[in-house]
Amino acid sequence: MKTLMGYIAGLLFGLGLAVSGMTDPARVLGFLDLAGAWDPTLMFVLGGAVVTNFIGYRLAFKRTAPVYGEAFQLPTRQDLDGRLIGGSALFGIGWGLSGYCPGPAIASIAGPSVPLVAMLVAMVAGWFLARAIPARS
Amino acid sequence: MLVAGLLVGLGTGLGSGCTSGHGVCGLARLSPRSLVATLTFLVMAIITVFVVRHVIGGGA
Repeated sequence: MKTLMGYIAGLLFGLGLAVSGMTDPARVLGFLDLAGAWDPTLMFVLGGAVVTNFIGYRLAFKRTAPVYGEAFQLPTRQDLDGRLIGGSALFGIGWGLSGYCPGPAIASIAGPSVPLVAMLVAMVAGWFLARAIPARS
Repeated sequence: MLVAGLLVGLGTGLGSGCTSGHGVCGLARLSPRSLVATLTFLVMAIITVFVVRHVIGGGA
């Protein structure tokens, strides 16, 4: 049942990304291009997702544990470090160059193209590279 | 596209989150780390698009 619920959640997420236009790099770049023909529509996708999620979390956390899991697994860190900020900055550059962030890139496997596959291969390589860089503490 | 993908992978790996992770889930939990991460990658992405399209590309 847990697997089925995970599958349904993933299906909903992918469907949302595709319907909202997040899987279209041209739309994403249009959203990021404030100085050009700016397309603000994706701002409402992000905003709508945050509001929906905010309400959803409020409802979900009234329970002490997930319906199909033992416990909620949530991030607990509050500190800001160079890894978080530097990593986010690198991700921003990659996002601005390609128009793909990880979720939509993976969802786009449904309609593969050569640039997409190149991007995905490099992204996975980037994840391995990030894991090879030890955290300074 | 290879460079972009590598940066996306490396960046989300180091920054422990992406648009969905920090932007949607983190902001909805009011996480300060996610707010900083979201602002950082949004600003960097906007600057990158500006440079590519309007500085190098000469507007398009």
